[in-house]
Amino acid sequence: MNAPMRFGLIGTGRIGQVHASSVARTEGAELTMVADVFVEGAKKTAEQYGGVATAEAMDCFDSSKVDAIIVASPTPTHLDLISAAIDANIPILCEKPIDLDIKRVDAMRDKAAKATIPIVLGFNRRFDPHFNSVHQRVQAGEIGKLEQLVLISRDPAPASKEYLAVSGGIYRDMTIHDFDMGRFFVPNIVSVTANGFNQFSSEIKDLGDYDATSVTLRGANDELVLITNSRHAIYGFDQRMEAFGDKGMLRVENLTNTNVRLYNESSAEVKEPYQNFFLERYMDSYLLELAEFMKKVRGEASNSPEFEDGRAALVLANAALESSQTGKTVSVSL
Amino acid sequence: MSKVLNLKHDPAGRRRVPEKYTPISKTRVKKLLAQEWARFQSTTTNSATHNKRASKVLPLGVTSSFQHWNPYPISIVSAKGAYFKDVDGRKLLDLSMGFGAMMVGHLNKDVVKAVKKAMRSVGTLFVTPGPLATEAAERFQKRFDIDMLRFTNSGTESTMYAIRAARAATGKKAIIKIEGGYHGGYDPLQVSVKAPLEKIGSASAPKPYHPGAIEAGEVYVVSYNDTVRLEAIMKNHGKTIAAFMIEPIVENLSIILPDEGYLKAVRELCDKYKIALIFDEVKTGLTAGVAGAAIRVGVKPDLITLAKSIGGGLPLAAFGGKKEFMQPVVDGRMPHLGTYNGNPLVVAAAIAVDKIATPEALEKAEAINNATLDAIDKIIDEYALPAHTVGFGVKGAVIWSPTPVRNYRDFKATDFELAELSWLWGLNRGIITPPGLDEQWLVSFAHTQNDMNKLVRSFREFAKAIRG
Ligand SMILES: NC(=O)c1ccc[n+]([C@@H]2O[C@H](COP(=O)([O-])OP(=O)(O)OC[C@H]3O[C@@H](n4cnc5c(N)ncnc54)[C@H](O)[C@@H]3O)[C@@H](O)[C@H]2O)c1
Ligand SMILES: Cc1ncc(COP(=O)(O)O)c(C=O)c1O
Repeated sequence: MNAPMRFGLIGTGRIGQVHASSVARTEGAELTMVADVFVEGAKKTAEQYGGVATAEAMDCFDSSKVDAIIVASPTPTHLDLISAAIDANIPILCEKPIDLDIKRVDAMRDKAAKATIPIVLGFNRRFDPHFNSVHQRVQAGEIGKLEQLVLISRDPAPASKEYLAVSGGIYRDMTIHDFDMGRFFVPNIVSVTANGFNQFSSEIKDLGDYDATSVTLRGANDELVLITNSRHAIYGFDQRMEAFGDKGMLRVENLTNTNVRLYNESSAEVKEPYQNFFLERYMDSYLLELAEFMKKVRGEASNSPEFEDGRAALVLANAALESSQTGKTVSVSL
Repeated sequence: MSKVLNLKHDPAGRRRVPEKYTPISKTRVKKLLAQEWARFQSTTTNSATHNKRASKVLPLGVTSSFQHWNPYPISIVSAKGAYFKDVDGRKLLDLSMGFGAMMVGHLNKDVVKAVKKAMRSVGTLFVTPGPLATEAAERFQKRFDIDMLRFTNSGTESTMYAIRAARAATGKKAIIKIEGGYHGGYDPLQVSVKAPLEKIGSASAPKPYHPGAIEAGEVYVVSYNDTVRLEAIMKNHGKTIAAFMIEPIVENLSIILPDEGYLKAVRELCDKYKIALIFDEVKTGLTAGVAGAAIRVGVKPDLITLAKSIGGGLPLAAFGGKKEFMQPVVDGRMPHLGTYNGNPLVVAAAIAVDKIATPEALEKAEAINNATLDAIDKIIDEYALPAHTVGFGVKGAVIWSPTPVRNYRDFKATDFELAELSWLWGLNRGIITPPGLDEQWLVSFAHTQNDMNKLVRSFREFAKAIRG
């Protein structure tokens, strides 16, 4: 009955591919514009998933062609594209992080607050069915009062040196997801204590960055959020969570592609390796993230994270970096 | 109370009242109103300046008093499709659409093409007959199932001439109108339009209210949806009453639906007392369905007045109906005159509108309207708002009352502060609905579901804000 929601996609790299396929797989959604400075990438994506390819991101900001925009281009482009979306009055789903520079984010804060369009940040992990179920059950009071949230995130291996050099460092690039996950459960964080480590990568050390970290967040009601990250894990993508309360605990373990177990001479109950990386582990979450964004665009009740959530994660990342460098606990007000 | 809630309305309309609601804090509404008016003034400085200039030459700075609101209205530089551009450079989603006159969208390409063609190769005015006006008339004759019609330039002229035709045909003079009903500027129809409650007696026997500058003659007023009082008036004064003028669906008090069977009863009473039944379809017309409201509700009036939606935005209106009621124009008992009547430009536009206002086009717009009303109903439930929705055809409205509105008194009892805040909230967020608080939104041929989603999103934010 209703015309589909038309999407413009900006950036057709790793995550851009994921979003293009999510749009193509979602009923009531269609890809109508695809932009990438690397125009071959845009053309290939458009051929596969639909839409008109262009090298110019601004071509997407035309309400006669699109009803909503997804930004999957590199981080430094995010704020300008959000600003353009506000000007064009077109709802936007923008990848995380919002930016690497809090000053630039704060300069946009007022404009974003006044904007009448949905500005949604790509914190897809909130929509992972496993983590989301924990969240729902915590909200439902199943473990009583939430006292501790433990997040363990380890990437299988570091990204390329080129990527790391412009990534903004482990806190703004990697831990950013955990900061948001922490805030998903404990929105009001008051302080950050962090330690950065150089355990295995001289490349990362040479960049002045850490390859591992531990972060403690304190909530306004004295909740504890404990985050452990590493840029490598020999056994695959390690994504675990524990929510601990006075009435019990909820826990999410790593996933394997199948539930098959091997039993033999030397071992028992052996599973296959964990799902490789974010594309596999979080595939469902990207689809659900899109569905939630579409609800927001249609004016329905929606839990999509917004501009202020993007900003808050960056504030926490900056505080964690400061804490690692000074050895002090850093107070924050979000 | 529960009886009113269960009261059935005509099935052609759509109304949904909430099962549960909680009141909204008055202090919160006042605070938000102050905040939103401040926001209005800080973002519309060019409109303020323009109104100052315009007020020196045009009373209130506007060309029709409807257009004015305090402290000043927004001034528009251009319109296209479903959008306005204002003098402050903002793009606004137009949901007012010329009170329904822009049903095909601003600068609709087919209308523009037809008018341009007429300007290039037909002419602007003959003051003699021509085939274009006849074709337009034939099309409307067929579409609205009427015997004869004449074109005029405005709704006001149409309602005035319709009343005169009824007088000539019945040989009587007085009229009955609905309390709170608006039918344009003709004197008898100005009675009891926005009458102050303290001057109009009880709802069951409303007293006519005559504003100062009006010379109305003999006019009776009756509440909409009230057949008991209507019959009493007809019984006592039927010998002098020529016509009963009514909007079949009242669209000048937001949207008020007829109770089930009301219009049929009205028809029977008019027949019984030999009173002409005039349906004012200036606002309903094509926005109520392919053949207007009369055919949609299945009641045939003696005369009908049309304007707005039939003209694609050009000043075209009409009145017409059954042969015996148009006969006075034929035999000269009621001459109908006008220099610009049915000029080539407006009838070219009317023909274009008739071509594009297909059942499919109207059904599509109505489906979007219904989906929008559904979405807003969900928000009303979610936030337990003391409000309900009403829709008819491609028009819809939120009414700030948890119970149905069936007449002027009910309408006056709705929450006007919330209505003002809701209107202003949208305005400050790029959505313009009509300023009178008594109007409704219109889903034109240019509006998409995604355009209407803006209204839904803004309404959700508004619900959140008033709940605090
Ligand atoms: N939510 C997640 O799980 C997740 C995962 C990966 C990446 N990301 C985020 O998504 C963004 C993109 O990451 P990626 O890994 O896909 O990067 P990528 O390098 O694989 O892809 C980026 C693409 O954007 C294009 N591009 C660059 N500048 C552009 C511009 N001005 N206009 C249009 N296109 C432009 C590039 O040509 C490239 O094709 C980053 O901000 C990253 O933080 C999020
Ligand atoms: C029901 C009705 N009748 C008549 C009129 C008068 O029409 P016009 O403004 O074209 O004179 C209006 C105008 O809003 C109206 O709503």
